[in-house]
Amino acid sequence: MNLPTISSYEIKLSRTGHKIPVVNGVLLHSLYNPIKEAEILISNYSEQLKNKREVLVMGLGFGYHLSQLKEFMSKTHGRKFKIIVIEPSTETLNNPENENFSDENTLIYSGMTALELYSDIDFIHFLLKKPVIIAHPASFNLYAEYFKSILKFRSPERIVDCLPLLKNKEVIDYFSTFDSGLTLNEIISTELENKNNLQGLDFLSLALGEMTRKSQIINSEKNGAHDE
Amino acid sequence: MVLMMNNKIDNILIINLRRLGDVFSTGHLAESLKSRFPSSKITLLTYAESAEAARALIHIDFVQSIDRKEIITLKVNPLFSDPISFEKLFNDLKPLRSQQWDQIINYSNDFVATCLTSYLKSNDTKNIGLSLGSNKELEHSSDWALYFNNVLPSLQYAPLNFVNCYHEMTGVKQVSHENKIKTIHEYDLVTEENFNLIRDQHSQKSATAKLVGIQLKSADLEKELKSQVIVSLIKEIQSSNEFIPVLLTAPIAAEKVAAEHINSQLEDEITVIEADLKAIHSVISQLDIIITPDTAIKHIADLLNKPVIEISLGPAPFLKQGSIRKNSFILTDIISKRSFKKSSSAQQNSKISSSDIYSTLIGYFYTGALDSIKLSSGVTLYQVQEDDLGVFYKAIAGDVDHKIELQRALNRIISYRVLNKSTDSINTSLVGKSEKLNKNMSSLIQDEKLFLTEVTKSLLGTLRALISGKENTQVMKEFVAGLGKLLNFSTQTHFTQIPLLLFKEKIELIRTGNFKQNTQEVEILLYELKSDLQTVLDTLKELEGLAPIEKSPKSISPARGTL
Repeated sequence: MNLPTISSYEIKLSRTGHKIPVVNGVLLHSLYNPIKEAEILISNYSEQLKNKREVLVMGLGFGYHLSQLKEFMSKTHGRKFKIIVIEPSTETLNNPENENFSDENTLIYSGMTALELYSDIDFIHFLLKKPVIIAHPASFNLYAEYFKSILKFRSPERIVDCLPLLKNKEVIDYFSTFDSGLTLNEIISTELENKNNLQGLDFLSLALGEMTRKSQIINSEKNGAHDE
Repeated sequence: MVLMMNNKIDNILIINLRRLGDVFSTGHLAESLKSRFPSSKITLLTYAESAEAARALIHIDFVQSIDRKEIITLKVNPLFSDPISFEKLFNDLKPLRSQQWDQIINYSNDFVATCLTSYLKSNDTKNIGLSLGSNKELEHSSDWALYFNNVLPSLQYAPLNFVNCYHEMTGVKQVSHENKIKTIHEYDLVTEENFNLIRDQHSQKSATAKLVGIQLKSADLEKELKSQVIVSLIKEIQSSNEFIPVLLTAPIAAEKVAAEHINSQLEDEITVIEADLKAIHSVISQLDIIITPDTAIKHIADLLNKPVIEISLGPAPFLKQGSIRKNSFILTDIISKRSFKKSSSAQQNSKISSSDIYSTLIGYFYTGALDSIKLSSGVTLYQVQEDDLGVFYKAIAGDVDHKIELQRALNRIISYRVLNKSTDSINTSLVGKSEKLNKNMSSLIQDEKLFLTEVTKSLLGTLRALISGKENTQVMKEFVAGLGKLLNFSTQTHFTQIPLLLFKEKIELIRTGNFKQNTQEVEILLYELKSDLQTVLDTLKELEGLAPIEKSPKSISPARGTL
């Protein structure tokens, strides 16, 4: 999925005097009262946000909802929270009328395709924490295909498509020894099964295969119990 | 025990990917290793969820963990590419890969640990336990590893505790000093303060009243005591001036709810101590005794040398992994009625009552009380005892299946004799001296000798067929049939089962290329089995007269056999 195309971009002023970006003819915030609109949006997620320190926001606009969110999170969690914003339009992010929202708690990923996002290990680690997902309605509707490509992303399986996602040279070299059209599962279940002389990282592949084969046994609710 | 003679063991890696309790129990082996190799550094590899437990062990120098949860999520979630999970695992293990290990101990012996052993070892590394060969065959470091992984699971009533097995596999003598687990000073102080408060609240009780910790929950419902039993137990304990009961819980919702439920039936009079993994060590170290089902608490108590009354229910495998602190107790339904297997229903039909537990509590603290202890019908009390061979669970009260206990005791002796080729005298205290036991023993020995004769005949016939049939196809068929019959004997519960199972496992491990080489291997194994059966016979004879046996030289020549 490529990044969405911006065909028109202008700034309007709301009745409350706030700047409102209009992208491809779509208002990204309320022309009446964007602050009120943002408050309502965040309040809809308040119960979830009380129990979670990680939030993924889809769409930046001019960040009125982001400001509300940061205020809520500060009040609820102090300084211990993290927000990641995905904004496809670098023009919106870099617009001089827009605030700079990036700080120790807030990171903005802008102008990145789904594949690029899911190649970023920090983004992956963030997703593993199962953040609350807040879709900025106007942005989400404007860039619907883009955000859907992120939400419904299916990572590549063939080794040849996965190699660019890896960082470690030894791992890359190892996978490069196999037929590039294979998947990791095929390597584990077929290639190594037929291999006569296992070495080094082959054992790691087998360990990974076994570890994930039993994945249904893991019960995260047992964390903290003095159990066997 | 065959002790390791190599003094140059500096860098030891123990891989233990099992659950919390098993990780704690690594502490026993770690202490023994440190005693044997004082200058060594011991690293423990665990999954992340057990890393905190590993870090608490005094004799573990470094802990490395695998974030299994993250790796599995990366692998199974279609959002993430599979090779990223591989890279994550690679990175988690990187600090270990860069080191030269003198010894890698595969403590958990599951397939993941076995693969990681092979991944991390070098040509100079001594492996203990299972590893995977380059040809994908499982490799056992010794007969003890074979016994532990393949024979012990096949025995209905395990004659050996796992901790003993690990020491035998590693070739280090088990040592035991006071504490093997760290406590945090800050928590020690808070615990002391709180316990003083509890004592003050019970000022009407004796000044020397014992604090009795009662662990409520287990990870497995089948292993838990019913709440009515716990409530009755606490009432009995409370009624005594000599004991103050406290409930032990972890800081999770299910345990809090359970404690509230129990306490609500006791007018909220019982102190509930909620402690996480950091604080629980301090708590246990200051209790006088702990009553617990099969949980990690039991292992922590062992490491702190605190007495335990373990209530063994459901699938809890106390014979293999029970408390190992000397003079601790294990209460269980009579083992002839237990299957030690997980069942689909969480229903328990245990006969263990609160009075059984309370009587055991009295028995621990008051000399002579054990002699007159009366337990519910169908309940057995075991005491943890020690001898030169290690830990043993001796049935000391209640309903006892003497035949099974005798078999366990003798299987234990036979295991050591067959595996260590030792001829140490039998510890007769474990065999027992009662008239009933002697009567059982005589009849048992006779039955065993008859079966041994049958097995030996089969073995000799097979050996003869093998030797004479090398040029004769028909005779070779007799050899194959004889071998099959021998292997079938291994399924029968007799004292010959242990050497037969070892033989069977070794037969299955033969991987040579051609029939001639295979038959040569089998011939060697048959002579080995013959020698082991001689050991069984010698042991039976010794039991008959309790006379010391002559040392039988280990030999593969049939001319020296006395069968």
